Amino acid sequence: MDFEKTLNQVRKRFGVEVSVREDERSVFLGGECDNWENIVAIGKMFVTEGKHVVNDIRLAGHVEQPECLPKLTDNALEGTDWDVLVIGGGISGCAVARELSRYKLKILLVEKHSDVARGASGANDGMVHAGIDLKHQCLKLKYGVAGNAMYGDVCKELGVNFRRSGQYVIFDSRLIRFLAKSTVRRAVKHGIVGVKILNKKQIAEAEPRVKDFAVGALFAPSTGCVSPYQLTIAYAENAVQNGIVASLNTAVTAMTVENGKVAKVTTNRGTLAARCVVNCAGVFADKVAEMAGDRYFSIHPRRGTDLLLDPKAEGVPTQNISMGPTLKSVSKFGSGSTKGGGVIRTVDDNYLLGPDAVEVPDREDTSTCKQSFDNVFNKQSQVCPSLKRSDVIAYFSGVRAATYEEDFLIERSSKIANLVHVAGIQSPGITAAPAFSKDVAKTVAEYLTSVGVDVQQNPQFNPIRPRPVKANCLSDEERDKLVKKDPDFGKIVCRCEEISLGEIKQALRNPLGVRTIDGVKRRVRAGMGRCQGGFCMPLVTKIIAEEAGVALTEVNKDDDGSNVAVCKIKEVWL
Amino acid sequence: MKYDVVVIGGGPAGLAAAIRASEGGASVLLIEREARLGGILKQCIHDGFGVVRFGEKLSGPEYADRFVKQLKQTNVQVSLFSFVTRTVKRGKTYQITYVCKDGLVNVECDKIVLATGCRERTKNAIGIHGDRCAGVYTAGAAQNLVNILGIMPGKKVVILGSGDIGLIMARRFTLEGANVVGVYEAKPTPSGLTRNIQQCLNDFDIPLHLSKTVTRIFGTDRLQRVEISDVDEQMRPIAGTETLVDCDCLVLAVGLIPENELARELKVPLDPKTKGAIVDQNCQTLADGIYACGNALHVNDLVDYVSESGEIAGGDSAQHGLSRDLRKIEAAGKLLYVVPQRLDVNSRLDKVVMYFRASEELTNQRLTVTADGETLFTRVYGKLLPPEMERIVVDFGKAKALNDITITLEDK
Repeated sequence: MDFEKTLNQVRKRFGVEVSVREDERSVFLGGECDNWENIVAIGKMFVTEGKHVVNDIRLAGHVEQPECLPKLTDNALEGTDWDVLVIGGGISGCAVARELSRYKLKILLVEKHSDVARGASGANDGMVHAGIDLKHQCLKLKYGVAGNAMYGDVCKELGVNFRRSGQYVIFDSRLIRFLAKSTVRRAVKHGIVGVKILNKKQIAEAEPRVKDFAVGALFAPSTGCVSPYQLTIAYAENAVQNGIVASLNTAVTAMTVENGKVAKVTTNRGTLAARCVVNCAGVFADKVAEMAGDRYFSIHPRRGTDLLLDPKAEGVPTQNISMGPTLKSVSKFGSGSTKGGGVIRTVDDNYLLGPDAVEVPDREDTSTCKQSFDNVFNKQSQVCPSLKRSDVIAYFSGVRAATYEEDFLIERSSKIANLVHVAGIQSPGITAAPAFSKDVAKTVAEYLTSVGVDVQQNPQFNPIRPRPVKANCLSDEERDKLVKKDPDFGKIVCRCEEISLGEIKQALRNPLGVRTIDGVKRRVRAGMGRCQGGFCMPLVTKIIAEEAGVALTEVNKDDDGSNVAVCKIKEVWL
Repeated sequence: MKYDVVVIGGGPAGLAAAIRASEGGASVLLIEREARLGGILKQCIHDGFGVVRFGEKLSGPEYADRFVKQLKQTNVQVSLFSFVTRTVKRGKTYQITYVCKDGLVNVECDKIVLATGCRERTKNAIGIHGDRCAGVYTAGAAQNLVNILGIMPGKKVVILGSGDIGLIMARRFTLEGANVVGVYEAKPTPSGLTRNIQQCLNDFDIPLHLSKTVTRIFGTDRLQRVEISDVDEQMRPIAGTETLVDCDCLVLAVGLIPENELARELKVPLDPKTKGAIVDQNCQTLADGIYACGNALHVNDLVDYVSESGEIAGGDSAQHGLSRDLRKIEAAGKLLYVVPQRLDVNSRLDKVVMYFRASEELTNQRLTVTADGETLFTRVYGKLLPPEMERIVVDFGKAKALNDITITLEDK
């Protein structure tokens, strides 16, 4: 690559001097710049076919947030020996662990938080993408399309709700509608079925709430929606049911490499050995690679904020709607990065607006800010003009783990023989996970076989994860029968979402052993409604304390140290 | 089962409604979602309840207990830990389905009294941004943690909102030994009752900061600090005025919203100002046979008035309804809202109880109720504060005509 030319462009555009060197796998950037967005932009300028960008340009004056690490330290894993270590309990790690559990292997999944799905997997809109906006020859397309097709079966096996609801991309000009024909042709070529262009009348019939401004739409029938955290939890639970060991509150802090292989892995719970290591560490995937001396790509965190609407909000489109390119923004379409979000009807019949995309220097900066809120709200108000600020009951941010190549990086390392990277998993990561997890499991099995491990099928493997009971989805007769069998299902604890004591107790008996307020919330939605836990949080605190046999003051909202209360009353001075 | 009246909600409004309906001769079922009657009063262990009604300062549980005892003297059926899942109109009656520990129960009734109370606005409702850490609670949730569960949500507390429950919690935290750093209020005037400003803040030297709000939350696991900003006249934060305050607990007392899920399901028209149902002087909504009372109707500041509206609703629901002739009551001038919003000229007109709030802090005001130009009621107020609800009793029976009814608040 002719770096001089690019370096000149960098000087011209940003007025900074950066250093550049390359090896067979990567282009390495160094230097300093006072603007994070510029640093990311510079990184992208060095993207070239067949190589990865490792961007070490520092943000001047910025002190990186220390990584959030578990408070727990013990020796639970000290000296243990595993066939496979999966690092990270997001959708990637949990799906990979579940696919690996088809084999008779000793598998350990570690997650540094107190629950799975705590990163981007728990904070995205849950759209199962059709893949209409993806470019040729990328892993996102390969696994996105394949994963989408698997969704019905996977969710049935794992007992998770999934709805193939379709998606409408709205056009406000005839020219754009005409140009969309190329998108349809591309979709056909990529094997995405049923994509078609709707005229003004057809879109108005499909979604009357956009009739005033839509001159047409692109309809992708294979788009669906899923609860991304419930799917991640289900994958993890099924993996545990099939014999893998999941260790929460466990962070990998160091690795030793011997003879081109990861030999020992150090965690806050002891040092262990693994024949094969799968890096599913999300926004920390490049840091984990670095621990093995294998940092040949870098992750630039990109934050997205979603707004959750009251299910009772009026005038919101009942279909998944996103605004297509307008004449002003026409160049954006098909670029492979975010389409700019949309209005999504979730599987739980809430509405989500968003997300936006903001490059942030800190990997765990999931804070929300007014600017993102306003951007998302104003943008989605275009397709939903009657939207009121007061319809928003919650908002959250997740951080996408983007590489500079903006594609998934799923491969066995060419340098560290027993290290498999599952990195750069951003949108459509949820969509793609069912597909790539199978390939990763196969890669691991092949590698283990090649080093003499006798890899056999797990005879006890059961793909079915029992679907949790949801009392208010049952018919009156079924619900009555359930309550007569177990009266706890007749005692409503969360009134907004109509969640019973029975469902909360069921959630607290989860195979991962998660007993937190947010863990209950993610599993059964207690506290996710319009009062946001104002009424049920104290009750859930009490139920957790009773079920877990701990003091009320030991109940956590989420990770260790996030105690609901600091002490008992009358003990403030103690 | 068939009842004349089903009361939904066993807080002060529902208790009063059920008692009065039963005394009026109706067969009554009272459905309560929690394991005990009393509603939010159960956790209000401070005093000051019942000053108007009983001339005594009772605690919340004591106030509730008086009604619970009275209820036991009646034939009201009570179903606890029961949650209404569906309400459907069938001809002239209503079919109510609720779930309780015995299973799913269907009952039929002629009248429904909605006494479902209100819920608190959350941090998300007022646009606070930042981290998602433990230690941020609505005042009601914090009150439950302290008074029911006996645990402290924090030792160094910031309270946002000077509504009564915020002030009460400021005192409660102080009495438990916590350090209340301050009460912050976005409005230029306090939102709570004057007596609570004195008894809860001034008496304990807790600072009240007006025209300031919390704009951001910081903390990884538990809350570490909040960002406070000054606000302009529209209560929008002013950039550049941010200061950081260390604390481990943020209590939000930023307003209450009537709970009207069931009213919505029954397609009962709501008043955008009160966020409760539109009712006539008997607390009957625009849907025949459905009543609304207490905080589900509009947010009250005294429980005494909550009970009163429950009694009005309950008493009327026991009577066999004549067909109504509803006339609109126009609110004019500087009124925030008026309840009732309608007058049924076919029912009793002589002692109509009306509640109103001023839209802002006002002095030397005259309130006038007129019907077709004729003045039926007038009263002069030296001072009016939006946090303090006013109650009047108007005799509409003496009016010559009741076509054009207006209630006006204007400068004297």
